[in-house]
Amino acid sequence: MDGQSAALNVFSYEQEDGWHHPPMASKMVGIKLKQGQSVRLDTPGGGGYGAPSERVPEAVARDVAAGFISAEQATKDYGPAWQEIRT
Amino acid sequence: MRPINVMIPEGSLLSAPFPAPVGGYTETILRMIDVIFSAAAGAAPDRVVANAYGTINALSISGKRENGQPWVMFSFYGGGHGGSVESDGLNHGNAPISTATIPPMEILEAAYPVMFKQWALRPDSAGAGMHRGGMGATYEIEVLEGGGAKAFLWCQSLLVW
Repeated sequence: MDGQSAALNVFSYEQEDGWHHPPMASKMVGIKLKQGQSVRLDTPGGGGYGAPSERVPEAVARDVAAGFISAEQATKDYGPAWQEIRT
Repeated sequence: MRPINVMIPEGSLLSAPFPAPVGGYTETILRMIDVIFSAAAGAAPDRVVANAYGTINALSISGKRENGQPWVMFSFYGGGHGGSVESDGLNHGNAPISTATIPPMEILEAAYPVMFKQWALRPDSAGAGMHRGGMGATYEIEVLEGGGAKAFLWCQSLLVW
């Protein structure tokens, strides 16, 4: 299969000295939080199907316009062809 | 529709004899779904989907309210599903091992002293492809009553393809 990998899980949490972004482990325990502090979970996407080079540029441009993918990442994954599309 | 044989040797991760300690079966099931679909992709690539986000995202936050009552918010959180021959993957779906849904944040906020500052699709999280994967999500949760609150996360972070 030619589809590409998705982004990995990222778990972050707030402490008195700011945000902590520890290396991902399968289990994270004992994180103590105070009132007003937050945790943040960025979950993975799904894997792609088929070669990115076969994605129609209109679909890439639509995703960029919707904010699903950044312009930089879109060009990295799919090449510059989407930039010619007017959305 | 020919049957397939599934061989699971005794004494392996999937067939652990007593008294081997076991736990967290959701992560193992999700990995097996990925392994089986990936194996089937070699035989019938147009009939399988690419892998979903590969974890149950079990996040638990607990503490005590100001009146001393303990609370535990334990929930599963979503992620992206894989692309298929027909379409892009599902954005922010629940784990493909059950029909259990992701609880609405309004319910969670009503039941526990937390506030969701973000409940959003996560840009740049989808795997690239002719049909891209679905997008994962970003959750940011503030604890409104400290009371010795603790967070506990159980997930795996494997490359999803």
